[in-house]
Amino acid sequence: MLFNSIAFLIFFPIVYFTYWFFLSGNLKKQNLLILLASYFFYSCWSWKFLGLLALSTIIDYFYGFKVQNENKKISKFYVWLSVINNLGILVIFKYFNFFAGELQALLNYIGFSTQLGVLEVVLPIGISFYTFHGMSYVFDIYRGNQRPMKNIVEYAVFVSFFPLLVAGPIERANHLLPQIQKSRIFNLVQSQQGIQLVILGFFKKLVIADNLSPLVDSIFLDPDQHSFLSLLFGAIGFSFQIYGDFSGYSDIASGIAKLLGFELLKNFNFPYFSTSIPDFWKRWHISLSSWFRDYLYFPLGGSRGGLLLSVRNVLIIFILSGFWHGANWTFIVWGLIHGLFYIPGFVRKQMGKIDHAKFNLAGVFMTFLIVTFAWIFFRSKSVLDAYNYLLAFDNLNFGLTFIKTNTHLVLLVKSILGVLVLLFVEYRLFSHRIVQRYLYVLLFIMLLIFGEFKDSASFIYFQF
Amino acid sequence: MISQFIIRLLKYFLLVFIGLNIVAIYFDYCYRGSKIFKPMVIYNDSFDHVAIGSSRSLTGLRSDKLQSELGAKWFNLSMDDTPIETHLLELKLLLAFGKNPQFILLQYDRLGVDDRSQELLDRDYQFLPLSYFDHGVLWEYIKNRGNGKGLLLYLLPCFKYIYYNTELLFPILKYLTIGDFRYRSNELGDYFYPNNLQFKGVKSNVRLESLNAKDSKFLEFKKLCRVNKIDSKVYTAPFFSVKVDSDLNDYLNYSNLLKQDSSYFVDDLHLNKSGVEVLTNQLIKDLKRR
Repeated sequence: MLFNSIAFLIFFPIVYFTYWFFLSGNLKKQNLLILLASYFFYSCWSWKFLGLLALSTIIDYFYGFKVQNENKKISKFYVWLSVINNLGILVIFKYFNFFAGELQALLNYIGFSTQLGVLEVVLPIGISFYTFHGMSYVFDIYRGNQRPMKNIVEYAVFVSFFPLLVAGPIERANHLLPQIQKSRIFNLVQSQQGIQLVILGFFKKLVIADNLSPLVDSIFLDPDQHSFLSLLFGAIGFSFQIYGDFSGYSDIASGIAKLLGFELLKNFNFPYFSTSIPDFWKRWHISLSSWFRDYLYFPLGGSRGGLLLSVRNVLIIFILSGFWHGANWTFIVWGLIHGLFYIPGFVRKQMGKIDHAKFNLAGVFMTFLIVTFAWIFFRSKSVLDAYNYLLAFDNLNFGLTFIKTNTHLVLLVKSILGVLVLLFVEYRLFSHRIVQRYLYVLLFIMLLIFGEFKDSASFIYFQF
Repeated sequence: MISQFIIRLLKYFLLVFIGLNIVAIYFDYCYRGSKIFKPMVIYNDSFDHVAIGSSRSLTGLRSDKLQSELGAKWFNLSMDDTPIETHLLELKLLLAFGKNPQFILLQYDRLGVDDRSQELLDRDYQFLPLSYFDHGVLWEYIKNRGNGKGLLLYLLPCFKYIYYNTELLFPILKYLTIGDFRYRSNELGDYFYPNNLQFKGVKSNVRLESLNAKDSKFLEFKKLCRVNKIDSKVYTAPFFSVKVDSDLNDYLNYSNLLKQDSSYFVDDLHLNKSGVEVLTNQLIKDLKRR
C-alpha cells in the first residue's frame, strides 16, 4: 500500500478514528491496533513476507533477553548471532545473486567453467529497514542503553510501525520504544504539525519527484541521444527527484506518526544547502548515517587508532552504506565517491582545523556538484551505463532534447515551480503573516494543481 | 480537542473543495466555448462530412482537398491514441447534439480494437469538460471506467483538473492567456508530422493481418450510422509492413497501397506529406465513385 494511493486514503482514517475515538487512554489496545494495522499495511504488498517480518521480530525479541547477560562472552555470542541472523536474511534476499554472479564471473575469468545457481526470490519490501531496527535494539541492550522489552507487542510495534516500515527513517530502540510504552494523549499542536508534514511530504513527492520522474527517466534511458544541457538537467533533475521522493516519504511518515502521537527521528535537514560533503552527511538520510556511525564506525575504532585507521573506517562506512542501498556496483561506487570527498574535510577536522559550517555559496555549489555527479552512478543501471552517461557530455549541444511534446514542457514547468516553492517553504521565505497562516492551505492547493496523480510512481527507496 | 482538530481540518478542506469546484466549473464553461479538443468541436460545430479514427486518420488525410473535391463541409474528428470505443463515443455525441453528418469516413484497423478492460483510455480526458452537457452519453461511457475514477471525473468538476492537470489545466490556462487554439489540429482537424522526419524502415516480408468485422463496438458504430441514415465508409490507412485481409463489405483496403515505400512514411504506421497526398487522392477517386 502506497501513501499516495486511494487504499491508504481509506486505511489511515479508519486507523486514526479507531485509535483516538475508541481506544484513547488504552495504551495496550492502541499498540495492538498499530501492530495489526502495520501487518495489514505490509500484507497489502505481500502477505507471504509477513512471516519473515514476524520471524525477524521474534528472533531479535528473544536475543534481547539473551544479550542482557552478566557473562560478556555469552552476551557477545548472542549479539553476533543476531547480526548473523539479520544480515543472513539480507544476504539471502538482497545480496545472494549479486555475490553468486560476481563469483561466477571471477571463476570464469580464471578458467573455471561453472554455473552457480541463482535464487528466484523477490526482494521483500522494507527488509533493509526492519532488519536494521532489530539490530539496533540488540546492540543497544548489549551496550546497556536499553533494557529488553517484556511486552512482545510493544517490541513488534517498534519493528513494524507502519509509517516507517518500508522506507524509514531507521528508528533507534532508545528513541521510539519509550514512546511506545508511554500513554499517548491527543496533542493539537503535534497533530497540526503532523498534517503540515503530510502536506509538505506529498508536495515533494507528487509535485517535484513525480513530475521530474518521466523527464529524468527518458534522459537516463538513452543518454547518447541527448545534448549537454539535457544531460545536465537529467543529473540535476535526479538530485531533486530523489530528494523529493525520499524526504517526501520521510515527511509523510513523520507526519502520520505525529498524528498518532509519536515523534520520529529527523531524516533530512536541507541537504542541498550543505557547504561540504561532511556537512551533507549530517543532513541527508540522517537516520542511516548515524546508524552506521554508532553501530559500525565506533565499534571499528572510530577515530581512536590514528589518522590512517580512521580514514580506513570512514571508507568502509561509505562503501557499506552504498552497498546497503542495493546489490549493485553502482551503489558501491556512489558510496566510494562520497567517501573520497568526505575524507579531506574529515582529515582537516582530525588535525584540529575545525571547519565552521558557515554558509558560503561556493561551498554549496561545489557540494551540490559532487553530490549530483555521484547520483549519476546511483541512478544508472550499471557502472558502464554511468560511464556512458558521463561520456555523452561531450555532445556540446545546448538544446533541450528531452522536451519532445507539450506534456514534457508542462512537466518541466511544474517541477521547476515545485522546487522554487519548496525552497521558499523550507527556508520560510514567505514571511508575510497571512501567507504564513495559510501557507499549508496554499501548499495543499498547489499540490492539487501541480501534483502528478495520474502516473504517480512508487517511492524510490521502497526497492532498498 | 480532537473533535476541534477534525472540525478545523474539515472546514479548510471544504473551503478548498468548494473553491476549486467553482474554478473548475468556470474552466468547463471556457472549454465548452473553445475548440481546443475535438469533443469541443463536436459540441460547437456542424459538418456535412466527417472523418473519424485514430492517429492514422488524424495524420493521414488532407481535409482541405477532400472538402474542395467532394464539395461538402468536411472535418477530421480523428484523435490520436484512440480505439474504436472512443470513435463510437464521438459518433454518439454527434447524434446526441443533433449534429448528424451526411457521411462518415471511419479509419478502422486492428490497432483500434481495444482490450475492453474498462480502464480509462488515453484521450478520455478530452471529453470530460462536456460532463453534465452530454445528454448522458459520456456518463454511460465513463461511469464504470478506471475503478471508480471515471465516476469521480464526471461528477466532481474539480477532480478532472486535479487528476489530469497536465492534460486539462494547462491547456485552459493557455486558452485564457492567448485565446483559442486547437490541440494537434489545424482548422479542419488535420495534423501533419514535420517534414524532417525520415523513416528508415527496411523492406521485409509483409505481415498479413486479418481484420475482425465482428467486433461489437464496430458493429454498433455501423448500426448507429444505418439507423440514423448516415452514409458511412470504412477504410484502412496504409501500413509500411502490414497487409490487411478482411471480409468487410463496402470496405476500402489501402493497407498495402504504398507497397513498403519508406519515402511515404514517418514510421511503420504513419504517413508523411507525400504519403498523405497519395492516400487523399486515392480516397477522393474512390469516394467520388460512391
